[in-house]
Amino acid sequence: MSKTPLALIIEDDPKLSTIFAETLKLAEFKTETIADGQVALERLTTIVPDVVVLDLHLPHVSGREILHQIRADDRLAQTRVMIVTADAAMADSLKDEADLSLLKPVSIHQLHDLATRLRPPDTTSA
Amino acid sequence: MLLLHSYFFKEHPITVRSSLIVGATLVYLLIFSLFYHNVGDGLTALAIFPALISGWLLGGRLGLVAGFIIGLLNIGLYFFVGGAGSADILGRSLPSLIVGTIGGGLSGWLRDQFYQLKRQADTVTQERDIVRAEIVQRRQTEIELRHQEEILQQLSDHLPLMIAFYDSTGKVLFLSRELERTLGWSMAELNEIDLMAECYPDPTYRQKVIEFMIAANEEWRDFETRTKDERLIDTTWFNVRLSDGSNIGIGQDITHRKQAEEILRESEEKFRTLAQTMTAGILIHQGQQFIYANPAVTMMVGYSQSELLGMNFWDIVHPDHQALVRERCTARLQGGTPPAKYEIKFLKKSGDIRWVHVTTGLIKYKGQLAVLATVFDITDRKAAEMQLQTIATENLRLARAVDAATDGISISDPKQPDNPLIYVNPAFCQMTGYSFDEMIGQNCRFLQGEDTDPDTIAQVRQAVEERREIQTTILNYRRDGQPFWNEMRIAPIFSEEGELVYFVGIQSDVTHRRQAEAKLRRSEEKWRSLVENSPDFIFIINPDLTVQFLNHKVPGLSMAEIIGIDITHHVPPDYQETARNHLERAFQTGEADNFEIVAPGPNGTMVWYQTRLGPIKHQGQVTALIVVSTDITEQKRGEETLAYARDQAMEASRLKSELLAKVSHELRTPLNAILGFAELLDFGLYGPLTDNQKNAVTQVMESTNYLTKLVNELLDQARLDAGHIKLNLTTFQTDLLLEEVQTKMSVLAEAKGLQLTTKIAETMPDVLHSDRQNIQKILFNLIGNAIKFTEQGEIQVNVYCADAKQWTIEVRDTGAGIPEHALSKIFEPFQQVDGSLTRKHSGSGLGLSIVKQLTELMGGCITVESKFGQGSIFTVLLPMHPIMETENV
Repeated sequence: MSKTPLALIIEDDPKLSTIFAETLKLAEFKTETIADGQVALERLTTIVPDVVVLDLHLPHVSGREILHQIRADDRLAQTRVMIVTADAAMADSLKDEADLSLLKPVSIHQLHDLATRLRPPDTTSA
Repeated sequence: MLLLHSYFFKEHPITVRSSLIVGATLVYLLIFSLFYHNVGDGLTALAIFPALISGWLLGGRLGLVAGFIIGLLNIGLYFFVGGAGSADILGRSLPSLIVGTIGGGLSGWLRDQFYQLKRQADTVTQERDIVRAEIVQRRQTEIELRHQEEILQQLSDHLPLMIAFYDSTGKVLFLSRELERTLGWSMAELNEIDLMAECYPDPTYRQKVIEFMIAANEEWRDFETRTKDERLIDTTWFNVRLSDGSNIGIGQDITHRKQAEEILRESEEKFRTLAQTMTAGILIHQGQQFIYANPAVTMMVGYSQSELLGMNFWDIVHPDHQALVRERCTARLQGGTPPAKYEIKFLKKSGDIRWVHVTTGLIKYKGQLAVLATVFDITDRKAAEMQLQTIATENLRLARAVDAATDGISISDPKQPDNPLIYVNPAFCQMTGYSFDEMIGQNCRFLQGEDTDPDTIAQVRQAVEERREIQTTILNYRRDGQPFWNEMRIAPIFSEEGELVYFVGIQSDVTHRRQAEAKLRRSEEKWRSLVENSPDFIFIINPDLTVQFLNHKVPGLSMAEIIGIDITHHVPPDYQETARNHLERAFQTGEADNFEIVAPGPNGTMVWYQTRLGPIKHQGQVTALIVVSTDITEQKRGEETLAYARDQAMEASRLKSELLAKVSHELRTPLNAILGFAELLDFGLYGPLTDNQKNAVTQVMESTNYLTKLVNELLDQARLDAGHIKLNLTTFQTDLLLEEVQTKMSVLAEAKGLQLTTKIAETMPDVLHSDRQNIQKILFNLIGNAIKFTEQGEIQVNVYCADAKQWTIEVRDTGAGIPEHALSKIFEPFQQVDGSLTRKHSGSGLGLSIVKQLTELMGGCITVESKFGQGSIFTVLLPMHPIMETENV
């Protein structure tokens, strides 16, 4: 019995969230996109995504704060966080905390490969 | 017989007598016992013997009793030995008793009588002997008395003593011849005159004499006694009372002695007066101390006479001469003959010194030797002598000084015609080159020559004529014709009477000095010109900070407003305290110093002055300061401009870094959108693409990649510029790193038909401890560059380890190469070799610059070898960091 993994894309730029969502779909993820940090935090109380694609510069609540909350929540212990940011310094500083830290621009091939690697082992792949 | 006599006619003790009785009785008993039967009755007669003996021995009544007992005993014997009967008892016993009793009693009586007579005869004999002895003794006494009398007579006759013997009533019994001779009265005349009245006519006086005689208190007393011929003589008397109340008066005529004493007294008086009044000191010294010192001595030494008498001769002698005096004094007293006269110093009680002349001799005082010293105070003489000596020494010294003086000294005699030289010292001879003999007798003018200033000559002549001093410098000529400048001073010398006796000239050759002065003047002119023309203000400041000198005028101030005024008055108020502190400190420490002040300049501008302080020292003391104030306004402005420019540049640099970071950040998001959509298009997410469309999408992706690379490089450069890139050392596997690089870069190489090979030498450690990300960047850059500039051939990456301290990355290509002139600039930012190449191989021009900076950041270096058209070799040398054992790979 296979289950489609869930990817939550938290990105305030709609163009990028579209690209990331499309790419992850290609990588056989169910996707959900949120542009607001506060909304994202609230949403994370109800869902358990397998992968979170996280921008750092977000309205209301920063990506860094969201990462901290995820890491502090036992429920989300299996959730893999992939930081995708334009801020090289921030990417660098959070790379140990996150599972992956990517500096924009991110190639869809790279994202696809990495997301595939982060998929939980019990999920099916295409 | 004699023995018998001695036994029987001497009084024996009772023991002896008892023994005789017992002995006689025993003899009788023996005879009786032996001879009774033969003799018989005849024995009765025999009993008479023991009875007689006992009676004699016992005497008187005791003899009678002893005879009776012996009779009884005889009777007993008859009974006992003969056994006679009662018939015989009467016939035999009675005769025994009668014979015994009568014999004993008679014998005893006779004995008593005998002894009585004998005692009487002894008494008479003793008395006769006593009388005889008394007669002998009296005769001897008489002889002795006569002898003594003779002695006394002789003594009284021949002793030079007047002796009078008189009884308790005062009657004269005897007068000695000396008395008769002295007083003129004889013993025979005493019956006619009253000797006392004759000798002492004054009753009161006489009474005193009589009282003295009666007192007889055995002491000598002097009286004035009149002789028979009515002379008054001095006598002295001594009275002794004898046991019978008579008196002996003993006297002496002491008239001569008195006279002698008087003479002596007068003599002594004279001597004392002399000694007391004379100015010469007289001392008598005996044993260890003075016994006399006259007032002159007390004056000389300042001690009183009583003080002196407790002192020693050498106590008043100066320590310099104490030993000498002690030695001579002792020697003289011991019979030696040291010099009798000498000059020594006395040390006064006050500590002053007096020179004295001492004449010593020996005298006898109280039977012992004493030293008599006559002392003359010669202090004044000594002082005069010393003064003379000092003058003599001074003269000698002066003479020597004149001889030794380096100045020429001459003496001329104006009393002689033409005022000739009479003395020149060696220095003057040396100065002129003439000898002493050549100069003596000449007038000084012979030293003058053709160039000697006539005015100066006239001045000198006039001064000599007017007999006054003159000081001048004149050109003279040496013996060898050489001219010299003579600085001379000629002074007239007058006698006490005011007569001109000499002219004394003192000359110095000042040729060198004049030359030096000229040189100094020129030098001074040079410096003065330098100082006066200096644009700086040069002050000389006194210790009270007043201005002593200023090199040129200060605009707007007269010199009078500056010279003599405290320099700080001209310093703007804000700087006055600073200036004063610096100036005062320089005066105190003597150290050079400098400070800056701002003063208002013309037209309301501000002028910066740098002020330097240089102390002028004299004998270690700062006597003045040289203060040099330089206008450094231009320099200050330059500095300000420079500082401003630097700040601006730094700010610009900071802004550039910030801008780059910002730009990089802001570009990434749209770049991601472009790249993302292009890739999605290329992927066919939005439907299949035509070839043209596909080509266009590829162009979009390439451009985006280029832009991304550009942004990355700009960001790296910005971070390097801002110093934000820090070393991040981790431990990693060498082969994995190279594999990753190979994988990524091969795609690009293969796309151009190039071969990329990586080789890791065996010498390389498996694990490295370094900044993995930086090394990766360096490799990406170098390999990327190589791919970019290589059209065909291969790219080789070699990694090897030359030694334990460093390792090497080598990237070789077979590309275009770099022309030699560009090699030195290749690592500079924004440099690319060729414009045409740049256009073809677009790039930021930052890559190699970043590689170099990263290499250097890691403590390494990068070099390049290249041949244009043949390819390049980039070599990166990196330090080998030791691997921490605890670190996990």
